[in-house]
Amino acid sequence: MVSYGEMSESGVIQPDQAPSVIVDAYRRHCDGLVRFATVLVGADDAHDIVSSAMVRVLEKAPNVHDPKAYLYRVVANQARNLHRSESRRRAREERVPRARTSAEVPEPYPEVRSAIEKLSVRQRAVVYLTYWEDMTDGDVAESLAIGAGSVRRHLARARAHLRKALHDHE
Amino acid sequence: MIMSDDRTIREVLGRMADEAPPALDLEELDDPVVIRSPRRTATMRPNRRTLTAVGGSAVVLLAVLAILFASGPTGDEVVLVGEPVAATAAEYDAALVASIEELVASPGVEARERAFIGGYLANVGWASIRSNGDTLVVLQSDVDVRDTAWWVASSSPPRVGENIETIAWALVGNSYYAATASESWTVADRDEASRGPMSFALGLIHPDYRSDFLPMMTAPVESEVTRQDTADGGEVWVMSYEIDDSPVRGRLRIHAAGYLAELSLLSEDLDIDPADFGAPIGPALVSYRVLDDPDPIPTPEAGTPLDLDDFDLPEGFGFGG
Repeated sequence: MVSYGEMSESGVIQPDQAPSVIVDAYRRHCDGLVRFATVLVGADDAHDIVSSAMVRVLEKAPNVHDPKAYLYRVVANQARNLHRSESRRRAREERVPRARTSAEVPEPYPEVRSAIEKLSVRQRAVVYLTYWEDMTDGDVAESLAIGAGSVRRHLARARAHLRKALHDHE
Repeated sequence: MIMSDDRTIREVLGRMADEAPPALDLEELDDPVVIRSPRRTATMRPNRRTLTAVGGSAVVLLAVLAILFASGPTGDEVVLVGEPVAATAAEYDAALVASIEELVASPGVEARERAFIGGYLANVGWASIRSNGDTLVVLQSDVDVRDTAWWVASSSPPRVGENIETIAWALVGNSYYAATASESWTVADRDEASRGPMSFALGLIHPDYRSDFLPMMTAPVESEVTRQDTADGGEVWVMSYEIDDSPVRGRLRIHAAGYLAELSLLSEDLDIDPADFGAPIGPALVSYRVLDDPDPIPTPEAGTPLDLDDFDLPEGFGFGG
């Protein structure tokens, strides 16, 4: 298979050899992708997830009609399969400062946050894309490569959990 | 209250997202050594690596995946009677094994399967096996549906029906025979030949392959299982569980004579990671028919072209039916 997103010996992506549509999509949506990954796996692993997703996307170089949706989909899939090297993670944490932490911004609804964190990665993805990205069921389905019915089912289950947490908070 | 709830959920999500580290330029990304893990340690594993090891060919991989994660109706007309009775995963497995043993003990078995990818017919298979192990297999695949990874670009359906691949192979006596639509029959020693693509339906009952295929069809311990009688004296077993919140249902129909008549696994919205080029799997069905007094497997004549009319294929077999 042709590999468009070549990796150097140091493992760094060479974007000049990657398909421009993917590179452009990443540059336009990288902030959103990292925020999405942060909600799915936490700030510590967000870069790993996005990096892993991009490595895979660039290696495969698929001919996708909606690069943004495809990038979100691969990030979500990577989040579902996260296993990472502890040493690499520590090295990255030393290199990349985090913007903010929960310790710095007290969460007024800790029960809701805890409930979100207990959702499955897929449910969390559906909730985030629906609530925060204001995507329709169809757009979420496209981004996660699942059916619209599945989106509605995940959303209903997640809402039930989250509203119970909200009411417990009250 | 609902609007207020939604607003609060949105605010919490926003605060979580705000914890994101700054995005990196593409040049700054490096290999994070993310290791893919099996999705679940259930006995029936939707794991490409495992399935590849079992099958060893794209035909096998996609056919097996399709069967493991089929979705949609099976299309049979079984009349169920009474109410479903709760059972255990162990009982489901026992019924599966016992009904396969009934098939294996038969003088002959004819197996048929159809597997879809994303709703498009990808593979059809027919196999006939005798109690002495002699076997005839015919497999057809729509190569454009099976091999082009068209599902990655979700807006682009595959070409259909333009590139049909046909493979046949047979085990007769001490010989292995193989042919394709374009290559005449060849013959080799049965024990030394590199065998052709496997039919899942055959793999489940053939003594050479059963130990590889059977474990993939058993019920994970957490499955919910029911058993229900059919009007003709048989049984239908259904097991269900979830993979990543997606329901998966396994279904066995056992003939009144005790043999496995149909087998399918149904899923709703179960996706395979598109970044892996895994296929979105559509409906599939395996069915078996016991042959009480079968003719011997015909011996192909080496050097002659493959002619499917030489075999007693079921009506409607292939991509035209």
